Amino acid sequence: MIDVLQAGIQTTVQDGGRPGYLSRGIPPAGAQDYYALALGNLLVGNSLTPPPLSREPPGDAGLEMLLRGPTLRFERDTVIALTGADMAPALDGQPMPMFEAVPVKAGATLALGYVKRGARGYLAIAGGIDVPLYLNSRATYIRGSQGGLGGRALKAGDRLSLGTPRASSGRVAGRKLPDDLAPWPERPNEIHVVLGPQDFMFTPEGVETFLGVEWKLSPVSDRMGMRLIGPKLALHERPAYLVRDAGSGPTDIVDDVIPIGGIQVPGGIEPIVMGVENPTAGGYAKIATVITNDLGKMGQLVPGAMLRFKAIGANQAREIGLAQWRALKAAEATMRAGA
Amino acid sequence: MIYDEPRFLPGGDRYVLIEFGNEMNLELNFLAQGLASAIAQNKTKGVVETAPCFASMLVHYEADQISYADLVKELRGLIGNLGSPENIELDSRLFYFETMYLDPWTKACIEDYSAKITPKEYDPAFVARINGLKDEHQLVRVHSGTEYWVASLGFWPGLPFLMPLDPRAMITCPKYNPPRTWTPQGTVGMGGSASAIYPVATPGGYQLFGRTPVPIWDYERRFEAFGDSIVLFRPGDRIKFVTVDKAQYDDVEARVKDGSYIHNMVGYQKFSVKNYKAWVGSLDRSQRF
Repeated sequence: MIDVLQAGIQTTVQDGGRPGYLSRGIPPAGAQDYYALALGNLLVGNSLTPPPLSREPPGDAGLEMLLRGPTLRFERDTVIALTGADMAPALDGQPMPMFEAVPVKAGATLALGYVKRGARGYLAIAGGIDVPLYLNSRATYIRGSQGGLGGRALKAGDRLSLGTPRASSGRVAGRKLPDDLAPWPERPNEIHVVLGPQDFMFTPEGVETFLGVEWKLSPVSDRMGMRLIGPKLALHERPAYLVRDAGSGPTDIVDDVIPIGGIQVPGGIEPIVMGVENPTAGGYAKIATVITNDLGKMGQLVPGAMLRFKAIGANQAREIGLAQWRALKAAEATMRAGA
Repeated sequence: MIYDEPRFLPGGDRYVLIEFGNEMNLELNFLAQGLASAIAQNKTKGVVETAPCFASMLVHYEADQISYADLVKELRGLIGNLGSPENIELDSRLFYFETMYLDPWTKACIEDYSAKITPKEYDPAFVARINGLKDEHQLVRVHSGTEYWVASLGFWPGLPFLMPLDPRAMITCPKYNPPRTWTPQGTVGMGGSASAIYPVATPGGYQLFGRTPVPIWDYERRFEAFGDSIVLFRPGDRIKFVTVDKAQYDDVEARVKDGSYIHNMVGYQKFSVKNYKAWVGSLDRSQRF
């Protein structure tokens, strides 16, 4: 068991999420930065977190910690790893290394502070966090009050059960990341997108502006959507009949189902990048869609951070995704083999 | 409009959106659901799920099993095989929903909005007026006088977007501006030409007419009608709102609470677009109930 002494700003149980229910109105949820949680699970010998929306099993559950982390007390000996945002971790008052499997003794206290770099920290624990499976996943869908621990963020006084570790703690303790798995993306403020589905509603100048300027992340951002501040994007004139069937705004469309990562631009201003808890359906044109691998990068930006979008093709996005997943799987195989 | 050729639009690296047109037209939704059904029967390689909406469908695919270009090719073939929308037949269950129109709860919600946010005419009276109906009682007759088609689910788990199947019951209305901060669970309302049932108490923008105690999602799996799902509806289901008074509402609510409620549902029907269109063609659309 783990005792939650202080909860942090928004600490939730997350795994790879539950894709496949968009037609029922249920978003996948899961870690906003899958790669960071996957690194943690890899280090402590857990099953890997797969990329969002993939058909792989969701992997072991850990904690996603937003902006200021929790304070936790461990009731048994275990091994943990911290990845993602740096929250100045201290284990029994001593600085704790990140991106490394660290043994902890029963009774030890882990205290996490405010982020120094990144927005979301991840804690992986050998054996994973054991909450009931809901639609095959342990991920918390906060807005829908489903999954995780009681469908909500942790509160002081909560207790978390742990699963059975897959590897002996002696074997995983001290593990570090192999050289080919970078703890941080090389260009954290460059977000790859595939243009569309409704980029044709914007003028070429509108698309050029979207790809050309620096955007600032608004404080009105969460796992549902991340809002951006920047210039207005120019749109084509719409046929008059759309006012009746879609609405009077310049980017109003007949409602459709929203891809995770879709970038809605209500009225041509303040684009919203849909996160892993997206509302599944909506009526605004989406100029582009963030590739699944860069949803994590988006999730690591703090309010006020600047970012740029870079357009690539769907096939190139697929190659980036496959390369990262293969590297994770290869590292897992190497570690299992005994390194 | 209805496009001559469907548009295939990328949604990042794992989705393709197929737009059949850009208007609120049942025929476009039949096409979307017909394609979803064809994909399911064909077991198209790499497809994780299909999610139809009013005039389009989003396909989620596994990028390491099929490329975007190959998937689009497959989908074009399937759409070609569908032929005319008239050939489409869809599995369609029909649910009867006990509903109290002009109920005290949505009335209180509207009054609260009028008092705290901006003064507003009583929703049923407003919607009746702008649609040329005599009063809110005729609105109830018109709104409850048709079966509704579940075009899509979204915005909230299990929330159905409904379109009237009987053109004589077609009404439209604007959404709230600004939106409400709360709406009672089970509220029946509409915005644009779509109706909806609110699965839980949430903010919202639809005009409100009534309330149903019948559960449309079931986190704890208490009711048989949900089968192995936590949400009741699937795209292509139909709903008929059955008007009830306060005593009947309370009775259903009590049975929902103690778990003895049985959803009133028929599950043996196929919806034939051809038969439907023939029937619609025979109607005098100027009539109202």
